[in-house]
Amino acid sequence: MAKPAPRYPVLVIGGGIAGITAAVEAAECGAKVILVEKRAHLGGRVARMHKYFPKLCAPYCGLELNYRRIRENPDINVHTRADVLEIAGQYGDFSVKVRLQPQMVNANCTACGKCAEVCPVERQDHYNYGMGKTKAIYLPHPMAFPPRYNISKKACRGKECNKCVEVCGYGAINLDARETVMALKAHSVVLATGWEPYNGAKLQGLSFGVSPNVISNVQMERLASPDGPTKGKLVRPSDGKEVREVVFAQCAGSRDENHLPYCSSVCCLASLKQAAYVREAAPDANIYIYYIDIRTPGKYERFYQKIAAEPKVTLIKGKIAKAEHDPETGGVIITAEDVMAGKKITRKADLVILATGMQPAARNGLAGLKTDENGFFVDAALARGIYAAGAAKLPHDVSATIMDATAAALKAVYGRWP
Amino acid sequence: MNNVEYLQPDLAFVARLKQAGGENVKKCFQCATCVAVCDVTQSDKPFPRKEMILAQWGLKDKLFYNPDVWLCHQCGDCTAHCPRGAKPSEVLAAVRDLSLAEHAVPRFLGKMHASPAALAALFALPAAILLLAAMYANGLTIPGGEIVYSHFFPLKVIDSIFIPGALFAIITSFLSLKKFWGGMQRNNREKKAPDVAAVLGAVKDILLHKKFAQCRTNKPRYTGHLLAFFGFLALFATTNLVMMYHYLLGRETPLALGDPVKLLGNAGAVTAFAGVSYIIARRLAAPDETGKASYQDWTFILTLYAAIITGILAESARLAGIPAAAYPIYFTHLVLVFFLIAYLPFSKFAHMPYRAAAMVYARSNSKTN
Amino acid sequence: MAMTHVNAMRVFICTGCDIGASVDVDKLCKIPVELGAPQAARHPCLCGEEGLQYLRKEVAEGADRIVIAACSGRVYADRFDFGKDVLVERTALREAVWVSTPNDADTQLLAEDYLRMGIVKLQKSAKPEPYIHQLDDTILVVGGGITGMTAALAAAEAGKPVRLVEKEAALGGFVGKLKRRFPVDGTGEPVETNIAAMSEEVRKHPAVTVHLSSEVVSISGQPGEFDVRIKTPQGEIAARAGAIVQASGFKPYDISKLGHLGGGTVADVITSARFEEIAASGRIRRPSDAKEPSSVAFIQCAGSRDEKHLPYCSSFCCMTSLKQAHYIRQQNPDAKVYIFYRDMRTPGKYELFYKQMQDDDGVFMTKGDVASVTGVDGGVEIVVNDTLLGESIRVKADMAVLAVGMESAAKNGGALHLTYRQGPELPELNYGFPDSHFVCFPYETRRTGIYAAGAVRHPMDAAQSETDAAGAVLKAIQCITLASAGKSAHPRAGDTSYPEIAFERCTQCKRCTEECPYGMYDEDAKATPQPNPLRCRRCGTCMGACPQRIISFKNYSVDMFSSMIKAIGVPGEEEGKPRILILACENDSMPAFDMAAKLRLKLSPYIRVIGLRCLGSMNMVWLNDAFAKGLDGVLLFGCKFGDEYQCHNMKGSELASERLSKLEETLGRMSLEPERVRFVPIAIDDAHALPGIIGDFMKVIERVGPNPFKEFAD
Repeated sequence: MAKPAPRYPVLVIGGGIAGITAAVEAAECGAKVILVEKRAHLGGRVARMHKYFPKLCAPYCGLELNYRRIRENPDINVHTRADVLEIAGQYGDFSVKVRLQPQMVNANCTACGKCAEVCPVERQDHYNYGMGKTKAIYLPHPMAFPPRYNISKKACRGKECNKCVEVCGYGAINLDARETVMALKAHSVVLATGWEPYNGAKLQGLSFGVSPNVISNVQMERLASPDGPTKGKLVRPSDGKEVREVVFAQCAGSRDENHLPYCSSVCCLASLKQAAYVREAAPDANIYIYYIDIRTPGKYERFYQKIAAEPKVTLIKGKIAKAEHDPETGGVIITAEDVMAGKKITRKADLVILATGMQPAARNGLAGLKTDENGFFVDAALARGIYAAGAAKLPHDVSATIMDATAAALKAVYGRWP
Repeated sequence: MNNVEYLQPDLAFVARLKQAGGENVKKCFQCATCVAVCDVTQSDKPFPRKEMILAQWGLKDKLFYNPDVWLCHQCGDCTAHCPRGAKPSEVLAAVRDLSLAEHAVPRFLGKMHASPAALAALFALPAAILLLAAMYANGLTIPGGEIVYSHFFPLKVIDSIFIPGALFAIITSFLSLKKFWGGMQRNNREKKAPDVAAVLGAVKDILLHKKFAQCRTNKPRYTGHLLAFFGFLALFATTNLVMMYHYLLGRETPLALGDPVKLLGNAGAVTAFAGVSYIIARRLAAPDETGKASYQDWTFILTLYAAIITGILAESARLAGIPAAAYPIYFTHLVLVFFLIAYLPFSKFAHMPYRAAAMVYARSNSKTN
Repeated sequence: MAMTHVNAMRVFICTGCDIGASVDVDKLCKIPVELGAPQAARHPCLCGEEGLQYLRKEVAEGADRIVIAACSGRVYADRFDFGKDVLVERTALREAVWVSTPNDADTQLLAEDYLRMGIVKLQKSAKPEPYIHQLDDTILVVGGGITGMTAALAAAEAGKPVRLVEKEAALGGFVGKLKRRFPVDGTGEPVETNIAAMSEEVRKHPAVTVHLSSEVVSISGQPGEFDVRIKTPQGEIAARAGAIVQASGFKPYDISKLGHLGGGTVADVITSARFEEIAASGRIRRPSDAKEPSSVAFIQCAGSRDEKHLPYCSSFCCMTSLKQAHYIRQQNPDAKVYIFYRDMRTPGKYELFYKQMQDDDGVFMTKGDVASVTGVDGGVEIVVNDTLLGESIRVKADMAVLAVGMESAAKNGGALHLTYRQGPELPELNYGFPDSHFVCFPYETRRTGIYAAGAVRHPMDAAQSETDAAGAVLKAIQCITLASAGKSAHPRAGDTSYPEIAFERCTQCKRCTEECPYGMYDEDAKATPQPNPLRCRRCGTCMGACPQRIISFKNYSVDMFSSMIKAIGVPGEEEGKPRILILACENDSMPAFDMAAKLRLKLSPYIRVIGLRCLGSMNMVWLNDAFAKGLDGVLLFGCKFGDEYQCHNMKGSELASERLSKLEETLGRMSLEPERVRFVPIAIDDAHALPGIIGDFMKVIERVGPNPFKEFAD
């Protein structure tokens, strides 16, 4: 009755929390796994969060456990800076082409950091969502895994500069490195390609990208983080002034036919969590959350009640439709209706956080695999042996993503049912 | 209180509303984006979010007797931003459309105006009256010689038809407004009578077209309506001045082209023509911004347009000396003008008294503006 | 070829990453000789290809215990793995020098101490001998609703034998009683449940044995070796199982508790569950007079999100009411449906179904607070305040449906009947749900090999339950797979050590049996602990708890750490250089140190950090050892505990902290100030706080002065 062991490894595409989970769970059942991640490090979006709701605990605690499982399991092969070009074949026997981007920093890197000290170039810090700068050779944050520096090809001046190469004592840098293509066979494929934050600049009237004090929720995570651009101090991006009036605008671009018609399901919880950040980092600040419906299902309701009961936290039903730069104070003026009071109101704020939604990162498909009209992979539409997990399938919170990825691991190793 | 009143959503009303142009009303999920982007709404009693749920619940009483419905100037900003495609401006436009029949005194005229099938009959009335008057005045023959319209239709004949028509319009307007105003007071439990300040404030807003200027999505309409409005006022003034010329100064039409009243009339005609042309062009070219036009909208716009055009053509034909064209055109013009004036309380033209009343009501009762 | 020595130790010191530039490596190389090991060898880059070749050659020549004094063990674990026959100890010299002043006497002493501790640790380690036995890989599924059936089919498809126990006479559970399910992608109409077909498939599957009208009587044993007794209509049977999925489902909230909403008093006020049953059986008719309703009011959050009833949200009720509204409108296109909600919770693609139902003219929705639901002549009257219509409203409907929430089946009686010393069921967390406390590890169970899935552990809908079932089955299979190789499950997945007990010195104090987070120990009649090694998760809490110190692992023991502490060099009092021991949890505190090192934050050179598997494994004798040795203070770094506890071994840090309270007495007898020992909760992202925390403690030590025992220490 036991199934024969898969001939080839399970291929997991995407090294965020969904991909990491699928990989370790499958591997600990005895399967061989190849994990492919397009960026230089694992952890995806959760690695860029300050804390998780509802316990306000560090994402890296769980990630560390998972990285340990990856480190100690020889059955898991991780390729970073790798993306999938082609998937052909069928369940049990897929032929996959993976592009390995130029590995300008190779496995000799010990992350000693000398290269970054001498690098003359600065570039926008994408880890911090554009807030702040790093050198062209950088480690996005101290816990990055694999602990290897990365070079931004766009910013790097190449061999005409060569300073990092000269100072590296381990021969870890090769500025001539070329892209290569790797062919591999896979038993099954897990699509864990994750999400991107919806671009707030598309939200007309909300001044994202126009006023520096209107930021997205993912940027807020970085602002609040001790590893972030302000070392965790909650200040206005425009002038570094401490924030006293903080406003959260829920459903910014979600549940909206002009943008994302579905609900991203975590933004209410994320904003409540970020309100907790503000309570800690700026205890004198007033916090206002403007919403359509507060969605804190299941036991998360308790988290909502806890935050809503905090002093200086006010929740108002009524979506913010305008956020305009206030030349007088340098802040932002928001406009909404306080629906339950039946009044149209404006409010001056130091910082406005748009609770932007999640868009699937592979929304235009991947390696020939198609997505639905919202850009999500649908399991029923995928060929046997290919399973989607996490935000690639539906916006999920971390717990639901991990459940989903664990289920995907089952399908990937043993096949689908019924 | 033992007399329990249960809320009775009127499903038939919802269906009517959807048919009248509010077909997306059910999509609204009460986010209040529409209120936030509306520059015309007052802050203390904002619209149109509440109207949307009142509409969804088929609470027609609360919509028909609601100043907000008429305070709305159909800028379209709300519709442009609505995340559900519920099109609040179209819903309110549909309520206004249905209001005309609702408030109409007598009711049957309101119903007739809402029905395309009755259009012919509505035109037939003034046509018949004027035909009879023409027969009485000149046996329906086209007078020879110089074109003098008062030979075809002496002023007394015109006045004996149009003044009762106008009075009819004024009286029925007043009755409809009374019903409207009373209903608003009942719904809002406010009993303030209109005060002078409120009336003057509303008049000022109307003349300055302040609300139109605040619209963003439908901005060009500021120009269109301004021209049409003042053009029409000029023509209206002209008519009354001509009457005064006749009864007080004994001056007869046709007036010399250089006569100040004539100048006013011509200026009014050109301005109104430009305004209505622009309005029509906008409605055809950018219906997403102007909002979908209903049957009542087109009936009014086209009747007005035709009245202006026939007026201009009548003068042109007279000046060109083509009696075979001039008199029939003039006749048509009279029919159209009667239609506009006598049916004013029942057609889209009634937006004039209703919106003005709503603005006065809002000013009388609000603490802020 | 050299002779192979058993337990032949070699020490290698890497001089890369500034180690060579920060300390006198030649002096360090001599340290092993003090401890009876050969002099250390130095190398410029042990992690590079050349360095690794060198190490492999040493291994081939017989080294089977290697100390690699280089970077932290969290780095390049795979490169420094030479197979299970070679024990490797990673001494984090790199991180130590990164947080210290280079070429400084104190840094040198620090490096020497760490090297000594690493060598001693390895000297006291033995190779773990995994507990490998032939194990049963049957998956026992308790509960035959959608979760149980999905689990059964998933496990069967994975090639495992399945035994499913269901207490009702038929499979299907709650979903089996539904008329339809709401569409998972939010579009289209509610869909067929397919439960009949699924039940059929489960019953017919050759790998699945189904017991209907049956209940579990008892479960004893351990993963891979569970002994299950099941009461079936044919009598009691005994069976074996490898792992267990508890899928015993939920119960809708009791309507009689909702009298303020007409529940239990008004005939035409029923629950959503009852409404669904009525709808599934044919035409929808109201209970009082069997009239088909022309108007129905749905009251959301009935007894949910309410401290007086169920404080949590059951998450499926909004979609359920929308679905049921669809039923009514289909049955009668002229019917009116009212939905009164507090928040409309239709996340993800469910939002699209909400949109669909909004577009139905006959559905009237508003936010509001339902003030009362009373029976009136001919129907039900509902009064709702604070509505979106701007005022309170009063509505009359033919019937009302209370959208009640879910209570875990675990709340009303047992399903597993474990014969474990720590209790018969999975421990419950908030609100009676036997759930994991971690969003990042939803299947982290306190009873190894037993996984709760579906609504029994957390309110969830059918689609989520299906996913959860598959996840739980994976963990169940994984647990057996790991156990078959003698390996632990998460969080120390892969660990092959297990606790060994010197029973002859056991005093039956019951600390290990009570404190083990996983209930690994049962007790015999005399309260002697009876270990079940396959339940063990190798946290070492029992080792820390035992006052007799009779529990140890082959590679993790009380003696090991006592020896490491005694290996620390303690300068005399006159030098004014205190010594602080920091016992730190490996999961969160040690990585925080690594991070501090990466950031080049400077820490006091007087600290000596020892990593533990879990702070729960801290044995109090180590504190005695530390003070007897002359150390001046001890810091315990562990995970936050309390309601929002962080410890992945549930209570490790809490237990350590509790044990400290007994320390005051001991310290008092030794005339030592209680301030010398402090527990500090450290999270993995607390690197930036470390300098401050350590600095503060150093000030305290400065204030209380040096340990008076220093001069008596050896």
